[in-house]
Amino acid sequence: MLRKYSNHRTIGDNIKLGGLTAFSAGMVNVLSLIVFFAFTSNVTGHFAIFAQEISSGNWFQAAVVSIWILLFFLGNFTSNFLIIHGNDYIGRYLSHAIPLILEVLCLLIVGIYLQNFYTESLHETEFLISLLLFAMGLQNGLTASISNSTVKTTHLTGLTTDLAILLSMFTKKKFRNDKSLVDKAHLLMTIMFFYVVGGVVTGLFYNFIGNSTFFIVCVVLFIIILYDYYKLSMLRFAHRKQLSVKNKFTISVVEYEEEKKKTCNSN
Amino acid sequence: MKLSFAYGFILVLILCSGSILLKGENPEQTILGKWEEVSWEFERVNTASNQMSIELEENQKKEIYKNLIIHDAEVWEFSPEKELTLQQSGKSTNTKLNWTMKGRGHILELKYKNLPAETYQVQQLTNDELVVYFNFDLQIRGLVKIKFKKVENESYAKKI
Repeated sequence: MLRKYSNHRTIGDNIKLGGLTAFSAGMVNVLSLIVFFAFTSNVTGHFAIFAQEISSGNWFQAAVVSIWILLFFLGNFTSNFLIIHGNDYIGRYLSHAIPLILEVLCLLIVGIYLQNFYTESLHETEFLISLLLFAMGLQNGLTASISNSTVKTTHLTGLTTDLAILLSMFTKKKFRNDKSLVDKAHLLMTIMFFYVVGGVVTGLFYNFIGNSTFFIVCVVLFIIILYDYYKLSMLRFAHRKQLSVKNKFTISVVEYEEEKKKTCNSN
Repeated sequence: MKLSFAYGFILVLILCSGSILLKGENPEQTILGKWEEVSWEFERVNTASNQMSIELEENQKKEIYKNLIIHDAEVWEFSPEKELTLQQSGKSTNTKLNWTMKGRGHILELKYKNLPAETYQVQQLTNDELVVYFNFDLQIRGLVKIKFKKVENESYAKKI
């Protein structure tokens, strides 16, 4: 899911990554709406609100919204920065996993703060929304960067447009038979489905466990990180085993040849 | 050149927003004090006619008011301790509840004992005027708009 980059990714990799990250984004968006009355997985609405607040002369609110937009921007920037620069120093898997680790940290901070310190002041609310927007920016930047902009999971505007275009294309037979288009439609529908499911699950969970639902989002993200870690470990193990078998075989061949030489010399 | 312009623009935006946040007035501070109800306007009432302003039937009013905390208050006093005192006409006792602001300061949430929280959308908040909307789920499909004007502080009035 994480370790492959750009065109090396299969449709299966993208569907797994898209499904799980869309699920977590849906969860975070609904959670922030319930707790803070603000959307955090997309910024289209925030741009509209920013313009509206400026036109109404509400400079304080306009400044708050502009900081939120900037933090989403910064999240995307950080993700791609880590991916393109970290690749040479810390390896592909780690440079792709760090944005997700940072996202988990942000969500943990929000969850822990809500449970232990939150006094429901506006400053706290604005700060926690900022953290969530940064986290969503990190996630969106990561999925878009490593999938060559194929997977974007925190907002559904572009996705709905793409899906509508694809479905209208499928009214022609030649497009219905195009595997790459069918794969793309599968991916988009998976993202849409899991985003909604994430939101519904959150609504249900929140009634029972309240703010602890943030920790469930962290678990979902950990699954993404550990899935690739596990796969990578298995690959390394298999590679080492292959090497050791090869080495053993080489050693036995060398020993056999040496013994053969000795017997020839003695004769 | 273009790149430095982009980075410069972001930096200017951060600086402007930061300075407004530091110096500007937080809605949580603006709302503090006494507010007197000026009017209640019901919008988008279910009706066959195309009239814009509609008199509510008595049974509709009763149903709306039944579960509403603030329906018969005339003066709302917001304290910095996040306590809202509702002063009712003809009653010596005041109702006290808790208030918080959510979102970017556009949501006013009121909590009273164990009742479900009521949320109001703050449409306008200046030093003199407060306009909030409340959304009903009853047959009053739509919104109720409550307008307030700021009541001058008694001590301030005495000083004058």
